[in-house]
Amino acid sequence: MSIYKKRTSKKNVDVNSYNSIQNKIATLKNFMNNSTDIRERRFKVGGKDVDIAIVFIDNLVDGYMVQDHIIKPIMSNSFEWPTNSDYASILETIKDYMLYGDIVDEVYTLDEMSKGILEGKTLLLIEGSSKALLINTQSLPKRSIEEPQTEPAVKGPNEGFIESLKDNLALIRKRLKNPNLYVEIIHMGKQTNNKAALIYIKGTVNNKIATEVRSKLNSVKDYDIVSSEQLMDLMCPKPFSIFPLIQWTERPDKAVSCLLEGKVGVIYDNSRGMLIAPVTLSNLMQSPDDYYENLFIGTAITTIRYLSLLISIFLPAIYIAVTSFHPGMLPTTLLLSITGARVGVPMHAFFEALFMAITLEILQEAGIRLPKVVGQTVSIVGGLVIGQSVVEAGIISPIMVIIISVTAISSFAIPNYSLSLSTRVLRIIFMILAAILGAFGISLGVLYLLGYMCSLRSFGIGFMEPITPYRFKDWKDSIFVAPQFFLKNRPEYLHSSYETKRKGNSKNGK
Amino acid sequence: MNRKNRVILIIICSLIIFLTGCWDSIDIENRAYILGIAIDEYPPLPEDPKNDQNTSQNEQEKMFETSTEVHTGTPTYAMTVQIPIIKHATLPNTQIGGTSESRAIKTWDITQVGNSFIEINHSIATRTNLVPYYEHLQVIVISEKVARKGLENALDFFIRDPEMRSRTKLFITDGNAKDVLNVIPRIEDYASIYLAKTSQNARINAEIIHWTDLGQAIQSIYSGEDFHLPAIKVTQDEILNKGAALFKKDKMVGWAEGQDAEVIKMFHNVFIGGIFTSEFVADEHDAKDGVMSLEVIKAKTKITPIVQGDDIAFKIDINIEGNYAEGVNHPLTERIDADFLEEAKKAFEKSIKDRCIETIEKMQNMEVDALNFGTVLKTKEPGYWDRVKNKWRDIYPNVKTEVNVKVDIKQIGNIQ
Repeated sequence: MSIYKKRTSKKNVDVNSYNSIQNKIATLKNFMNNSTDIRERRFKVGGKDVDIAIVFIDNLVDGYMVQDHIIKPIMSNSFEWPTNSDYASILETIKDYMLYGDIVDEVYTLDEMSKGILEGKTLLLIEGSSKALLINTQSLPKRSIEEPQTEPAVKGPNEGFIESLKDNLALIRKRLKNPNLYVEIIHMGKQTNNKAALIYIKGTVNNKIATEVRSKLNSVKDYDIVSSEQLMDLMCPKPFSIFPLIQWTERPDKAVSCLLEGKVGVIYDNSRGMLIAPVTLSNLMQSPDDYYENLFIGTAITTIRYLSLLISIFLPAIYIAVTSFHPGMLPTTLLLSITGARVGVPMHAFFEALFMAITLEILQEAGIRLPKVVGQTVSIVGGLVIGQSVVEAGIISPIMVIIISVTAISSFAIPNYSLSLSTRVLRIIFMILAAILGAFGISLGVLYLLGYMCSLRSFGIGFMEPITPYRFKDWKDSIFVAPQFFLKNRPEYLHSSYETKRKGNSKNGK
Repeated sequence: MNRKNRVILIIICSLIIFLTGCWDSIDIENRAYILGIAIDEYPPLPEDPKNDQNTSQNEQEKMFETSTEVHTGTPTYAMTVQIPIIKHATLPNTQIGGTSESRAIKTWDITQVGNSFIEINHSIATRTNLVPYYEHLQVIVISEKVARKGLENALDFFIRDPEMRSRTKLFITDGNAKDVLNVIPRIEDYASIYLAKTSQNARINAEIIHWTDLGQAIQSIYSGEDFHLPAIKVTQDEILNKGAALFKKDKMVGWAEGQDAEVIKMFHNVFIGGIFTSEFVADEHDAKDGVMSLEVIKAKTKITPIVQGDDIAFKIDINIEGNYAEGVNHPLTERIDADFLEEAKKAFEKSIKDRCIETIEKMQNMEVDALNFGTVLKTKEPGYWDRVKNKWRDIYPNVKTEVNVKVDIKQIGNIQ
């Protein structure tokens, strides 16, 4: 708090009042708490006896660039200086004739200067001038572009977003060479000073959605968050929603197709994903692979995926309900073999399922947390413990192992990771309902869940669109995957400004 | 939603708990799945040959033979339920499955006596640690003696109990019903499932009655129609088909075996496959022992009542499609050509017609309307039915019938 106060109190101090360059640097450094990684270099302008200094943080800048693009041209300039040039005009001359930097900003206040330095820019101060220059010499550490890890696709590009706003924007821009693509940088966080970029295609997007996302983003501006997932949480229209109401993707191709549909994207600097709003259930169930295969395969895969969503939520619950309340629902031979498998198992089906489900969750969690080298151990131990020993010891029936494994595999088939996490929660809820009330409980739960899902809204768009409200036209791009030829219209439910995808729109928005 | 509504909602939701609950929950392995029920007359208590080796169990059975007190009246029925012993079942890939103990008894047949089935049912529950559960009931076997006394009383419990299913199969056996459950089948584990599955073969053999079940029997009993049920007889380890048991109102009056069962099925339009044979169309060649067979693909029967004043006659049109399946002692001079088929058709038509007439006469002599005439009359000539329904039983034995059979041979075989 004290630091914050210190900063704000001196925010608008005019450097001009500290005439000597020595003072200026000292003030600046003091303002930045004399961190030892702040470097300065003082030299003189070639051909003139004028003190000049550059200040930068040496971890954030490209040293070669500073030497070659700033120090070298200034020191070894062959400019014919007019005799009566004052300090301000010398600075202008340096800016206009000598600096090679691509972005050079003029700054006046301590706040601007320190922000620039912290971003990896180099500050150039000149004696006697109130102005200073910020030259772009950023060289921030980052990963190279790699395959998206959470959303792999069989076909389709293998580029994924990385933890750099610049590169992520480049990945989008390079796929969408459209003058209407609009990017708005919003500075987020009082301490982190991170950047978020709001992206949409002007003229295509439904302006109401864009405005809502922007105002939501502005309303959470002051939170100090470090990743886009936290931003997603903050922006979420219903913070207590079980389902994700903002889509998170690390696939640029997915991001671009969403932008083309008329959705709004948010990229947060230093995190891997892009947030897309609004989102519907059918969006979450889609994978880019659907569009890279033909109609029948795409539709079949989509159907399988919906099936696996249902399995991963309901299968253990149905098993519990059927085995402990309604064995009459099973065919006799299946009943006898399930009974045979359960003979001697000491636990009630619900506790059996709970035990297995919890073991599975622990195993999944351990698999993520462990370093990759040791990860093998988990799978072997887990596979042996769950698959064999538990059954051989007679604690769990083999049928339950099958049920839980099928459930787990189904939940992996859900393309969206957040959605697959929500199915895990729902699974437990339904298991409890089934254990208490049987099939009656499951049907109550289903009714409530359907009502709840229909009531969810993501930035004004219903979560269950286009199933309800019923828009059959949109089914071809959600429940079925029609050939590209038929997908010339934008989804109706987004109420985009322009209807057809193929026509697009010109620069003037006409 | 304001605060008050929310509170009300929570209260309503918590009330749901009282509607049903954990107390209905019984683990799947803690139920006794009753697969078959045998209903016998009492006294005497049916003997139990299977348990002879197992003396302790046998003694137990005998013990219960003596304890036959019931609350009201004297016991008239002995009901046996078949409960699978899951531990001894031949289940795939379970360590518990008794592979070495193939001789172990795989079912527990509990017999209790009484005069009301719900009472017997409850007394069975005292003898087992598992909860009796009837939703997987496959078959109900009723002995001839009980059937002749009338089914209405015997089946009343089975239609009122919520755990019973109307698709449960009913069988009538000529001996003790309990013997049927005692059969140790070769392939299946349980006699009940073995018995329930035999009717699958109805599309191969037309003598197997496959379509009547508990629901249908009850429906016929209450609407006063005559009906038939599949009949069986047993040996030590086999269940044999015995055609149909014929019922007049709810009382059994006789059997319809072999060909009669086929004809009954045909008249009810449930003939889904079978064989008709005929002698060869004999000409100058010696083909005395010649037999040719027709494998029926489709049989369609249309019964039309013809009312003339007070007289009633029935016209029965039977259309049969089939393949020429076999010719034994085929006269070699005969080629299977269009002419031969034409004659073969006629021969088949004649033999089928003869059988139908024979069966109709037999049924009329037994005064059982198993051939559906009454129902047809009721649906097609309701006005006439209203007039005769009280004296139908008198009219039926003398009703005139006309049978027309048309056979169509589709294929004559694969090899030329």
